[in-house]
Parts: sequence; C-alpha cells; structure tokens
Amino acid sequence: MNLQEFPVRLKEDIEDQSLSILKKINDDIIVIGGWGVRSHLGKHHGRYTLDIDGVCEKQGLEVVCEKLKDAGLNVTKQAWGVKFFQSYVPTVEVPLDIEKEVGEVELRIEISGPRISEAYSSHFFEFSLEKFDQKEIFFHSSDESVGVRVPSVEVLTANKLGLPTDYKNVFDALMLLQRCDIEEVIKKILSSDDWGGLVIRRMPKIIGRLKDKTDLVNMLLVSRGVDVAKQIDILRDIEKSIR
Amino acid sequence: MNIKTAVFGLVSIKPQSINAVVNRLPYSKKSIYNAVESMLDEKNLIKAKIDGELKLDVPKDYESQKRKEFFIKALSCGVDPAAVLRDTPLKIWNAIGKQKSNTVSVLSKKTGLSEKTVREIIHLFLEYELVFLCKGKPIVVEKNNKHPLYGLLNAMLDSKDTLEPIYVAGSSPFSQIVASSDEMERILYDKIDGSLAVKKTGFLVRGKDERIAVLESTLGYLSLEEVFLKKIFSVEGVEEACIVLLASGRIEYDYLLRLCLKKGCVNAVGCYLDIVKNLKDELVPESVVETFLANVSKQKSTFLKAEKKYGKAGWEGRYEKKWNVDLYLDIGSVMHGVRSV
Repeated sequence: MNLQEFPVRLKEDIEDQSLSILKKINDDIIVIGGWGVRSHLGKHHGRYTLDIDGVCEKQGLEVVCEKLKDAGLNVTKQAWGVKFFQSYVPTVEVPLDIEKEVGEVELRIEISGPRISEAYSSHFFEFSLEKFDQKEIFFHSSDESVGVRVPSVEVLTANKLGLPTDYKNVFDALMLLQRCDIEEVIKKILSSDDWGGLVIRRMPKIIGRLKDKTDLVNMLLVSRGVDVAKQIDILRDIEKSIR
Repeated sequence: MNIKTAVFGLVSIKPQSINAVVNRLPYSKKSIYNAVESMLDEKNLIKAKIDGELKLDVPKDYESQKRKEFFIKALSCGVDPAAVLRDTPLKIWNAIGKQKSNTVSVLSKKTGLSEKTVREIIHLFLEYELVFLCKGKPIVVEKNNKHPLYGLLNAMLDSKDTLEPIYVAGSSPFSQIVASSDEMERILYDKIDGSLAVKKTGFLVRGKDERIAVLESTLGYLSLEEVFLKKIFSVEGVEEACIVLLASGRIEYDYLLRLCLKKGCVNAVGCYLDIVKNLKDELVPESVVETFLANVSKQKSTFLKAEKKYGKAGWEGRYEKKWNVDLYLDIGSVMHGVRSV
C-alpha cells in the first residue's frame, strides 16, 4: 500500500483554490488548525490540510455565511460550528488514472466560535478575536498572497498541546514549540479555563510518542533535525509549571 | 560462458584492475579490452579507486548489486548466470505462477513465445533444478522455492508487487510505503539518498529532502484488507491509515470479515468500524457493522494494547459492552483523522 499525494501541480491548484476562498473572508475570521500552523512555519512545515479551520464571533459568522454562499459554497451546520464546502474543479490537467479520486475532492472551510470544546470532556480553549498576528500565505501560481489573521505561535502551541495526541497534532505542536517563548506558552495554557488540566492529561502520551524511536512522531521530528531529547525536557518543564 | 559474463563474474567476486582481468581470464587481451569498454559504456561496470589502485567494480544501484549477488550465487550453484539472466528465461520464470497448471502450452500463451522456445528453457531450468517436474506428459513444472536462486531470480523481474497507490488530498510530512521485503529492498536502494525510516527497526537516515519515506516491510504481497488488519493494531493506523483505507471505498468487507474470523479479531475490528461509522456515517456501510456484530466472539479482547498504559477516557462503555472489548482508543485522534477525509 502506498498512500500517495496528488501530483504537485494538482495539489497546488487545490491549495490555491482554497486560498482564493479564504481571501473572501480573511478579515472576518482567525485562521487556526493546519493553515494557521503553516502561516507560522511556512513550507518547512510540510503538512498542508485540505480543510481551512477558522473561528469568529456569532455576528461575524453570519457575514461569512453570506459571503461564502454568494461564492457558491454549500453550507451545513455541525455540532461544533458551520461547514462550507464545494466540489473542486481542476484548472490544471488531471491524469486519467486519478480522475475518480480528484472528482471526489471537496474544498472545505470549517468555522466555529472562538471557544473550542474538547470532545468527551468539559475542557475548552478560547481563542482571542482581538489579539492575533497578521501573516501572509502565498499562492503557488502567482506572487500574490492573502493576509490572514492567526493566533500567535504561542497560542497555537498552547492549544495544540491539549488536543488529541495523533501524529498531526503532536508534530504541529513540536514544530511550533521551537519558535516559541516557552514562558508565553505556559501563560497561554494557564489563561484558558482549565486547558492546563487537559495538557497535563495529554503530556505522558506526547512524551511517550516522542521517546519511542519506532513512533511516527519521533521519526518525523528526527528527520527534520529536531533535538527530541531537548524537546522532552521542555515539555516536562511546561508540565511542571502548569501543575 | 561469454566474455562479458566472465568479466562480470570475476569483478563481482572481487574488484579487479584491468590488467588483472586480462591476465586471469582465458581470452585475448583485445577481446577483454573491448568487452570492458562496452560494459563501462553500458554502465554495467564502473571504475573506482580501491586501496589506491584504479579497479573495475560493480555499480552501487539496486539492479547492479542484485545482479552481482545473483552472479556469485549462480556460480556457487553451478548455474551459468548468463544463460538464466536473458530476457526469454526471465519472461518464462515470471510466467510460471504459483498454480500447478504450468504446461508448455500455457506458458507459451502467457509469454507469446513459441512452444519450442518454452520447452528449451524449461529443460534448462530443470537441469539447474530451478523448477520441479510435476508431470511428464504433458510437461507440468513448478518453481523450486528452496533453490538458493529462487528469491534472487524473482528480484531480477521488473514487476512490482506493491498495490496501486491510494491518493490522499493535502500534503503529508511523510510518505508511507508498505511492501514485501523483496520490493522493499528495491525501494531502499531507490530512496537511500532521501530521508527514510524502516518501521520497527529504529533505522532512520536523513537525506536531501525533508519529506521522509516511512517503509514498512511485509513477508509477502498483502491485499488492502490485510494491510488494514496490519494497521488497525497500531496507533498510527487507527488515527489515519485505516480511515484513509475505509474512505477509499476499496475495502472488501466480506473478505475483511473472513480474515478477522481467521485471526480472531472480529470484536476489535467491528468495534473500530462502528466507531468510525458513528463519527462519519458514509465511511462504513450499516450492513457491515451488523454483519460483524453477528460474528462477535465470546472471547474478550483488548483494543488497542499500545494505548492501555494511558488508561480510558470515560466514553468507551457502550462500545465495550456491544463488542466485548477492553477499549483503549484515543477517540479525539480518530475524530481528527475522520474529519480529514
């Protein structure tokens, strides 16, 4: 079995189209998730999610809804917020052998309120809608870029450290952590309700994955030249500070 | 044995200077020079400075190294490597399948070669004991999988036993390849300049590209359903690979159930399918969950053992009861994976 990405031109076309949609609402939302991480880490991140995740206030959501509906996107309400989507229509040539797979691709934007609740727990993390960094994400096909509002690198890291410990979240958290003022990360964890409790709960597993040389997270970080032992020490310091 | 085969055989055993080759092989100096020149042009040999002396050596790529290995092994088995490593014998070797219907006429049809040619090569294989004679009239042969050249001959074939790729949208910081050990060897050679890691071994090398290839070896060819069962008992499998496999729509559930019954893992797999279905309805057909449920075993199983040390989160009860499992699964991680497809 070989999990394979689409050819580069196609992948870039998908990302550019997603970015074009984001451009319509970039001043209305704070971008979080994979695209938020990417705006801080750039291409070095190497992980690009199909979905754009964002947060905004209730009134803002109505504006977003109108703009995206006008742009032809479909809307469905979810337990966590609103999902906007449309089928991807390629503007580059699609190899015949992957026509079916490409035909199933959807461009998706998922928007919720600033308070992100963790499933099956009472913990939540609240993103500030007032304090954010302004970043640029560039199109592949031109020199143009889209200005996006994203949480600071410390806020995103604080959030990621309390999220489920799948390889994507842990990889994102550790890649971000290297750009962080650790004291700020600790402050952000402690300032969002009882998020610290969730971070404490996740920490043994995050460290366990980092220590295990056969775990994907360890492999990804080592291959990027990250000093894993040093990161484990930093994580232990964070854990100690928030206990 | 032809002159090129003799030169390659000698250099395979040990790198040699051109003078040593001329002195040691029973051919004219001019013929050897011509053969070596042609082999260097064809990149079947390279010149390398070894112990301060310019010597002829075998290139380091996969095909050449396999050829070198084959030559040494063939000579030690009393097999003329050049006789076997031609296109026609390889074509026939490839056509001799696992089934016992390898008659001359079947092989002739499979390869497009004349029955006379097939018969000649079959006799050559029989002489070298590369195949068994199952039946004399008509001739039916079977590969001798205990012959020292069996695996090496398979490795010389162009066909690859990796499955069709499954495409995922977005970009991943790694590429994931599950393949048989024979195929994996070829991949290792192909990717050695990049970043790569071999699962379960701790072997990891950094290369010129940041995107790492994570290789996972299997004993032989695996169907998608077997890959699913291999992945579902790993943390990474439940959070992404299994979800991608389900989303691909290429899993044959009847076959998956048969495999689960054989391996005694209906409860765990059924439970996982049920959870994924509840997270995203269209990923698993309703009838599949029902069929698995009808086959639940009374033997309680733990799913996922690797997560047991982190304890339960409190949501597991209804699934544990329904599927007779002791459940340790990070539901948030599975949700994250499901949302991505």
